Amino acid sequence: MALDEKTRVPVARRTPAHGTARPAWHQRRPKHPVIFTVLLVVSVLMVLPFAELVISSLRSTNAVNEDTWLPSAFEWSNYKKVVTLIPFWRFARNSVVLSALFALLTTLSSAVVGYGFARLRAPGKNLLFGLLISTMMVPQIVTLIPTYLLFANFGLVGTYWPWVLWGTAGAPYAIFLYRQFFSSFPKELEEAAVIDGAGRIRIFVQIFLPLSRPLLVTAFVLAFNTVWGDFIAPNLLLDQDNTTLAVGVGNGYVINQGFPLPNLIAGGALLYVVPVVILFLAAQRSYVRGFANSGLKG
Amino acid sequence: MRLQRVGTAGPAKRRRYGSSKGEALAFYGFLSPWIIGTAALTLFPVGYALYLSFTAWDGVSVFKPWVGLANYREVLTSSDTLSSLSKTLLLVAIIVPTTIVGSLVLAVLLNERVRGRTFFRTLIYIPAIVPPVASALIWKVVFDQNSGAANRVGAMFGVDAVNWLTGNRAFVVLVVVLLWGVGAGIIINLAALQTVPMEQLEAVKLDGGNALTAFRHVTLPVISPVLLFQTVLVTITTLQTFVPALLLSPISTGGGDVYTNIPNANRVYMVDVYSQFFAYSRYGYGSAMLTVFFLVIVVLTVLIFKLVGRSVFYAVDPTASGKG
Amino acid sequence: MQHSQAFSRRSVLKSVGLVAGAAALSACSGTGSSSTSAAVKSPKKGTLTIMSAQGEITSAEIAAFEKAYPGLKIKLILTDPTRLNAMLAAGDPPDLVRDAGTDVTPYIASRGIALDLDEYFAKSSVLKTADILPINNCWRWDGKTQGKGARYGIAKDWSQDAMWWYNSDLWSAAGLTAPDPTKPITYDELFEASKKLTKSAHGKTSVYGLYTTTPGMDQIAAMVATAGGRIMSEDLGTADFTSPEAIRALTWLVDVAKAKVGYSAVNPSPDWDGPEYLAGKQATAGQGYWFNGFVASTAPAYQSKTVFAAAPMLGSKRVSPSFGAVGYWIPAKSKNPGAAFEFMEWYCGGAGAAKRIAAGNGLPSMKPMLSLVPQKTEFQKASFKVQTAELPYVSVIPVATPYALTTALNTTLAKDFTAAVGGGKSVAALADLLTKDVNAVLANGKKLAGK
Repeated sequence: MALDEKTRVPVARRTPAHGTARPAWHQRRPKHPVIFTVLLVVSVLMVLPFAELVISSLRSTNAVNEDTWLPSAFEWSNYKKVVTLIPFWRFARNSVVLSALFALLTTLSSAVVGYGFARLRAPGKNLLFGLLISTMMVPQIVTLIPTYLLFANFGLVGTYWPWVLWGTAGAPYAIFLYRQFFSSFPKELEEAAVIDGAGRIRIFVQIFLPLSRPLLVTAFVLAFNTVWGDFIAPNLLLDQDNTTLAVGVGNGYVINQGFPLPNLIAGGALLYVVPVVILFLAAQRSYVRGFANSGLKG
Repeated sequence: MRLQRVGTAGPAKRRRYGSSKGEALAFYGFLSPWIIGTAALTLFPVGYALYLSFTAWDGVSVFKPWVGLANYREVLTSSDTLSSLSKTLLLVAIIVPTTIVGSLVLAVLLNERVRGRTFFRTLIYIPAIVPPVASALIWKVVFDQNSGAANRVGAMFGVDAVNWLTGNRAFVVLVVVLLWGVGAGIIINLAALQTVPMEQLEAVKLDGGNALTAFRHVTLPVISPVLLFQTVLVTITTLQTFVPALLLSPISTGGGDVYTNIPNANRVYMVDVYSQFFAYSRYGYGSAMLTVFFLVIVVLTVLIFKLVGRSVFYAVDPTASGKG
Repeated sequence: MQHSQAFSRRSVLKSVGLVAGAAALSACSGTGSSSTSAAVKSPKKGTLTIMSAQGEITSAEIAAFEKAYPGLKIKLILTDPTRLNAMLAAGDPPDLVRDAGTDVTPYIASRGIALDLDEYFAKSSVLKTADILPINNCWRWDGKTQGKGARYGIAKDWSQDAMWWYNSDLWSAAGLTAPDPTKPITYDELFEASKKLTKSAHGKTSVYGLYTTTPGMDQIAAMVATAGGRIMSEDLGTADFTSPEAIRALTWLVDVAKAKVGYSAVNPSPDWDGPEYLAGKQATAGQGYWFNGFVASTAPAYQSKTVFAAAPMLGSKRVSPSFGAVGYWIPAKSKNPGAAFEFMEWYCGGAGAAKRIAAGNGLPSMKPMLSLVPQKTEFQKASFKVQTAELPYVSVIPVATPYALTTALNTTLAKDFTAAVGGGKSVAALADLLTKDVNAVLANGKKLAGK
């Protein structure tokens, strides 16, 4: 086939991608009406469930199950209850702190480990890479009880230390992305630096880390979302005072007798999703570029 | 790797980077956070769970009676295991091809010069970042029998309302929830599509090929590693489907727990494991189920690599220098 | 390693009655041998860790308790079986655990994970044993029978949960004569009424006549008890769903599920009876006395048309149990049992309880507090009258066993029930299936207990 070249085009010199050179908004009319329509229909289908969520969050408590497209009465006050029935802002702050802490640590640590896998050779490397891949296959609940015992033994239950430790250890998926990305550079990049007398750490920090900025964003967003969405670990390890929004929203909207309040749960779920959507929108360009640069080639 | 080189490689051989011993040291230095972390936070718990799989621990007693291979024998002969495993495999058989093909088609469309494609891309991707707790909840609202949008749409076409969250229909809802996250693959595919060299696509067109030929002969080979990677990833995550199945189940009103009400159609493997742990207090048995499942995942992954991996185009690992 | 550990701890464990694991080694004692009560430990200052359900212990209550007991600080952990097991396994359990006494007592007592509180009760000036209402017998276990022996916990408040409420407007609109609220109707009469109350068209039901039914141990056993039968064997080691009484109960549950006169395991409710009832979408609500407070606080307009009724009967024996008697127990390894018991006194029998009882959110555990049950409005008076008439018929129905948690049995029941009803199995076949599967769960638990 046409693809005999075995060395990949380095990122810096990569050909401009198809279509990106001329932004779409330069076109006066959609060039492909069929594609436009298909995308429109799919987008609407993807977003409609949110509309249903918004609507149920506005139904009154005694009419959550009414069979109408719109609520008979819009209960905007539900949102006040959403943030007051549970300590919503405290949970939100905990979630932000915990997610950012983990994401920051794991982004850096995964970069370090990914660099090691990509650029350095040592006996046992393949074995360790196999281990990295297989840890992706371990279901979370295998480790629940033993993990608790481990942290309880060191008095770390009820603290954020487990997330610090998890973050420092790096995330397999992110390590994998970094490895792919760092592998794509020619050897000359390091060799020049070595001649300059730079050490491994300096090479990593001064050359590779700055190059990987989009991937840092991608890894950060992925890691942030992981902790933001995780219900199981905070439920197991944190207390009502310092737990996260996932636990708060998942359990919190109940009457005193423990029965759920579906309209408040819907409102809470909506507010709970907003920050990750905003984070994605803000980071979108780099986020997509991060995947593009890693190329994900094995 | 070149194990024979340990300790024998002289500085003469690896002049450019210093000694290979130094490189090995640097390698382990860079990997140390992960090695230490994984040993303590993953391998220890996994090892402990493996030990539990040979016991009949009830989760609360101090004593953990050793039962040898009894749990494994039961896992392999239980009709429940077989039934939940087959449901899980059915889910994989539906979700994996649909997600891979669907996300590829959508990515190709989004890669075209269409007005508002950034906007479309964002909308299509957003469901993928919705945490599972929230997405299960959203779909439960949509598929509610008496007040959900699904049945209201059905009523517009004169179709009688049905209960989506019970019986075999619950499985359909589970599939919908999982497919909703198709956007994750689209982003990766879009990224991959941007690495396809334009000149080669144009070369095909100059040779008289149409867009489809260009896609088959240029685009597909270039992005094939990405597709393989996704196939493996989607397979692993689909096999481990758990939170959506658990949270789609109706709220219990009989004083039971969530897993009491999970429809049989949605009792996939991880749900089965979960109820062994937390409904039946059979920690040893549940652990044995997980060990068996881990092996199933490994076998499936290897199988995918063997079956699909052959047709994948690989780039070169710069450190492997011709070896690999 | 493991063995020496078990042996070295055995003396400690035995003192609180743990034999579940150790019996496999020693085979000398039965499950839950008569235990010696834990000596009272005086309360220490510091943190009191409580595992409780979301929203139950409010921040106002925490503040009130901390004010009344200076030096104690409450830390809440949400109820979660994984977390509890992990904490017990780590030897660092919470100081108090919220649970349903009817469901867990034999299990936690026979495994030695709960503290025998007899000595504490004996010395308590708040929770005086003479004043404790009989419902709390479900928190007692003597090694063989639930209802006798040492106390392991106490209900925070309770209801007789086989009772029900109906919407009198819907009731008369359907041309039904109002039942005498203090005299039980039969389950068959309730089914017939439900058929008339249910309104449906095009696959959607706008009004369900019957409250939500579930094939749970509590519900089945309560029905069977009104016909003079029982599900669990004397030794709590086996279950039998094939007795004539059990067949009648199962037939009723299958029939109402098939007739779709109410939400059931095969047609689950999107939430629970409360909102459905208060939206006029259910003509009845299967809840106990506490629902009185819920209606009054959530939908005052419904008070005038909501009537409380006695628990229905399958046969002729009037029995009206509690499905829960939710309260607290203290883990044997609690670091501060003295203070934990102080919380129990405050929350289940002291100032903490008084407020809940006065709001009509359940019945008290202590006899003197019955006077706090609200009787101001017409609705409250009527509800209280029905409740007072029902009170003598409370009893502990054997549903819990030392060999499995009730959750395990309920999970099996729900799985088999939906499979059988969905698959068109006969009731007799369902009964056989339930008996086989529930007994398999129990047999497994017995094996672990060394029996």
